[in-house]
Amino acid sequence: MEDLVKSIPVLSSLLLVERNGMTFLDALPILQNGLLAGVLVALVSAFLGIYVILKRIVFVSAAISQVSSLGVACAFLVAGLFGHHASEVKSQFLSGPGATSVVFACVAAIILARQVSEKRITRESILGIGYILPAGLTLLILDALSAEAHAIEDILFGNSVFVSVEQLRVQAVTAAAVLLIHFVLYKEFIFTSLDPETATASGLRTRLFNRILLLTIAFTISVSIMSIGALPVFAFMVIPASAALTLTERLGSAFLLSVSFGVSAALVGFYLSFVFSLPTGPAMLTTAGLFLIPGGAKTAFLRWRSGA
Amino acid sequence: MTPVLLEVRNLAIGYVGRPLLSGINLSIAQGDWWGVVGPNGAGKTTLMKTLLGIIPAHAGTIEARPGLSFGYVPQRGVIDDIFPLSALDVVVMGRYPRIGPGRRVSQADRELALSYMARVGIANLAGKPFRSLSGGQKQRTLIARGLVREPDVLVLDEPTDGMDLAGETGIMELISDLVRGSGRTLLMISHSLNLVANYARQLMLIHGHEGVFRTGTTDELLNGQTLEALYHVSVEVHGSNGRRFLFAHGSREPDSQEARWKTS
Repeated sequence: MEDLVKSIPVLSSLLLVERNGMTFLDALPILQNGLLAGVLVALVSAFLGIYVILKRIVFVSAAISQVSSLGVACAFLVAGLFGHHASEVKSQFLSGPGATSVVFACVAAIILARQVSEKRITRESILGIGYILPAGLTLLILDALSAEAHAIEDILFGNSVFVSVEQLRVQAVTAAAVLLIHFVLYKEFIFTSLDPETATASGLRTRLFNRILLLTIAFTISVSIMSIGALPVFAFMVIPASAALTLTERLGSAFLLSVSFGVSAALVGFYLSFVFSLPTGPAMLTTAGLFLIPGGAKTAFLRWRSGA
Repeated sequence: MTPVLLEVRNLAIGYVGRPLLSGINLSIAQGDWWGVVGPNGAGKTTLMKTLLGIIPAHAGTIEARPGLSFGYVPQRGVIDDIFPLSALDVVVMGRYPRIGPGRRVSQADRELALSYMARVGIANLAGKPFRSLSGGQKQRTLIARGLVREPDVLVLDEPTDGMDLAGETGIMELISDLVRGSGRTLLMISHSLNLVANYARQLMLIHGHEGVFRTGTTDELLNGQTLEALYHVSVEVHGSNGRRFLFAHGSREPDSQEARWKTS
């Protein structure tokens, strides 16, 4: 394998770069789960990100990620009250913190999908409360369980380098299920997102489709933050889609560009984190940010040309 | 006898915790051309949204002929320009409920959408981004989307809002051409009484806050006395060359003379 890589000029200089006495190619068997998880999260988050931007619900996804984290923390808190150690809870990931995280996120999505008709409290206020209150409660729980905080933080904030096979499987199944739902209901999601009232008048079950859409987002967030952490997941939901939407006038192209940007950012960011010994999540996030440059340049050029 | 499409009995409308008007009785038949008029905030859009099932009714019944389909043309401002969609994409969307989940848009659906774009005079704009269109072009796109479903009833919400004289006339002539001889029923909300007066055959006069709801032919209802009670301004209605012209003079506050057409 190494001989084959050495025979390809550019690939060899990239894959055989050494860090701490080990080449990237040598380290790949250890890192592959993390790399695959990063790519899967980027793929599905960047796809969903188009809806997040178009529906103007960026802060809904931020609030869902906080509520999801609170679900993880609560699982440890309850287990602790019954005398279970954090390592036991962690070993029963799917039935413990993983499940509570998903349930909390889905309940938050259903609540946030409701339209606010009360004049004295705005949707922004509800989102702000939905973001900050769970964040505060999570910190309180972490403080209360300080002896086991490290084990909890590992799940809560993700470890993009060493992802377990179990977590990778959950991530892959989630990505496949979410993309399948979106393939089947693409038209319905687009119509109900663009013009919910006309969609309802035409006979579409707008509320149901809106809930399903938000649930796919909630499910993806809650599973993904346990793989690579909240910050990179939020970044993959927002940055690739924003970059794509500034570059194209076609929705289909926007989805393709967003997914390409997200997956490229995951791959390049992961590689750079190895080469320069950088934290993986922030490296992927920053790489994703580079994809905003073409769209920004295009916008600036169009403004300059129109004299604005 | 013209078949009845929609029968409304003792309907009460409004938003959650905010009832607006009750006791609405209405019968809409095939081929009707209704103008829905009333002051700002009177409940015109709320009534239409209730009939379309967008807002639940507070009370009463809406009986629709089995299989009755609606095409809704909202105010063009409700479409968020952030969506990167072509004019054709927006029109084809009108076919989505008929296509159903899991199935792709067919060539036949696209061709039908293009044929309606041609009918409303925007076939050449099919590939253009919707957000780059002018107000009139956007309105025509939304009318084509409302029609592409080939509905029995077309509901238009302020189709000429914010348009100049030429745009307004163009849209009204278009709507009139589309409805003529098609047997399609049309319900149109409009602030512009002069427009409604010359196109609609039936009127719904509505003023939710004063409990007013009255229906009738345009000839019956379009007179100074009726409009003065609705708008609290003195209104003159004149006719010339078969067209009606309305002029308003000064305001009159609602007095002890309660609105005359309170629903029972």
